[in-house]
Amino acid sequence: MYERKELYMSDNNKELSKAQKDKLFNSEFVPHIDALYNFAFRLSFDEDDANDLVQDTFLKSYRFIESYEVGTNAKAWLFRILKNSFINDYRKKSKEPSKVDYTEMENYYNSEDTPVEATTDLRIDTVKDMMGDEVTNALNALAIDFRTIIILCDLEGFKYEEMAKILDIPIGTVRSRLHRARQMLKERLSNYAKEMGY
Amino acid sequence: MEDSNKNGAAACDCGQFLSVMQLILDDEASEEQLCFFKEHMLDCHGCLEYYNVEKSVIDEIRTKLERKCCPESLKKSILGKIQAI
Repeated sequence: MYERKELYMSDNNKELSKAQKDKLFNSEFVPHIDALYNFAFRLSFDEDDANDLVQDTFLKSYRFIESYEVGTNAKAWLFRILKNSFINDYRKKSKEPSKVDYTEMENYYNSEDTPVEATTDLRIDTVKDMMGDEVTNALNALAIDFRTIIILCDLEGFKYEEMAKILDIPIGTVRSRLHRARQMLKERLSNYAKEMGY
Repeated sequence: MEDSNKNGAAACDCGQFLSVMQLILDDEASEEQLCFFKEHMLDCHGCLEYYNVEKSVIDEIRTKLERKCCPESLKKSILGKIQAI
């Protein structure tokens, strides 16, 4: 455990020594490198892009380390940097179609009065019989914004508030997007189960 | 989620259940919502079934989705670049 008091004092001065920066980097950022890599790969589907994204993220995090508030959520901070890098630098290059236009749909789901419906006939036994590849394929087939929210919530365990900060969207939109993403995932799993005769 | 929605109250409770269910699944529900959720699950087999399917999908994602680990060569490369700054 590094000396938080020392770091807080330095943070107030906005002048960390190289040794302090390295200590902070190694203790707060490096432990999340595998989660960051997994996120990068699931966004890009490309090992080279994932490597570049993770490297960019860690170099940026070090460059801006003095703007990181010690003791806050380092993982969420890093995920936000990586997500922004992906949108700004990599998404433009990719062949993936631009993000789906679901503003209207989100407005619908954001309404407090919106009835929530059960939309698939997926059964629990069917879900449990699914192989990892089937779950992976169903997730990968989702549009990137829906895929992202499932990864952040269900795989990485971020809370609504954290996801809202990472994605720069309101909490209501986090909830509606997550709901919609899960429905779409279930529909894909259900269709897959029917094709396979489960 | 009673099959026939025999009365308005049951239908209303099932609608509320589905709204609260996501909060429960994501561990974001209040105590009050949790109490309502537990009570309704005791009464409504349809909602219980639906919740179990939702939960199993999330569990499958958590347990069956392969996690890609950062290659050691990349870790070393990043740490080397940081040292050189």
